[in-house]
Amino acid sequence: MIVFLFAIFVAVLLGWTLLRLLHVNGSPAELAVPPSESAHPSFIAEAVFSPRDWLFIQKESSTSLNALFVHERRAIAVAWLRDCLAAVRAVRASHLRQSRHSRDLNLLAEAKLLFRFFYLSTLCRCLLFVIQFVHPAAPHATALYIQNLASAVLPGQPPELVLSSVAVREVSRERLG
Amino acid sequence: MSQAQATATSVLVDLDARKAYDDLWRRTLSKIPGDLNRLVYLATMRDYNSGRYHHAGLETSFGFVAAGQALEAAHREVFWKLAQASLEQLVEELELYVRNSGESTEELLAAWRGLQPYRIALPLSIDPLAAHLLLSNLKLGLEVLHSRRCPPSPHP
Repeated sequence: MIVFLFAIFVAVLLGWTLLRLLHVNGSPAELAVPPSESAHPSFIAEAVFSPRDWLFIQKESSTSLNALFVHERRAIAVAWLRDCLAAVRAVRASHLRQSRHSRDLNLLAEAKLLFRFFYLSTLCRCLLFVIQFVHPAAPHATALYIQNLASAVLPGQPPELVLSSVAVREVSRERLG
Repeated sequence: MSQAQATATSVLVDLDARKAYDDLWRRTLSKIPGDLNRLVYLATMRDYNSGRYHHAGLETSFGFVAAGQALEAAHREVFWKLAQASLEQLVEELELYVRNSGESTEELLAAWRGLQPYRIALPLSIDPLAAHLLLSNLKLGLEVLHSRRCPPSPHP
């Protein structure tokens, strides 16, 4: 198990290093997909893999609560990762369709983008496997890394998030004291 | 008006809807303790069959359309706040809800754990995963409250 986790860590590190070397910034062609296929709100990964929630449940000192928490969070984590994979596939397919009609195709940039898609998909698949064996907060950092990578590769967030992430907290705080 | 308030009301294009939204917060929602209470209150303003929101006072002052938009915006706003809350915060919200319900804690916990009425308190057309997260957290929160009141008996 430790060897496997180490192998995943090395793979992530290698991928990250390669991305840094390639200096992939932005996409070479327009990525156009409907908003419904966009990435999920950015707080999802933080919430699902939250160490704070895990600690809170552990403080309750109940084995049944612990088990329920792991079961619930694992289900949401799987759904999130599957949605990420589906979104990557949709964006990649859309991009490939557009690339076929492009006259000034930059092959290097296209290769970089395809590598990015492949890297993100691989990470999602690895995490899908890992979360079957560890508690939900264990891969917190990796999940946030995937979330950041996904938000760079996939189109923007749903409009509600603009309202949710900043306004909601502050409006309520201001109004309700 | 702060930037945050401006962002919140920017989804309401209609001027009457913005006024209705402000009025709703000032007169009603600010007086309801806790976001879970607000979520349930706003859900009760929605017609089960049509999904449209109704509020007699707001409709008289601002019209049906503006009142509906204001209620929907507030409902979504409160939903997103709860969806982003930590489990600990959600348990506090549940405790507040139980205290303000006027029902006995045992009865309310039994009804909420069994019937899961909070499932119909969510706004329409929201991100399914965010909805899944909030429902799951509410389920966990109820189990935490239940476990605190009825701790599992130790093994013989």
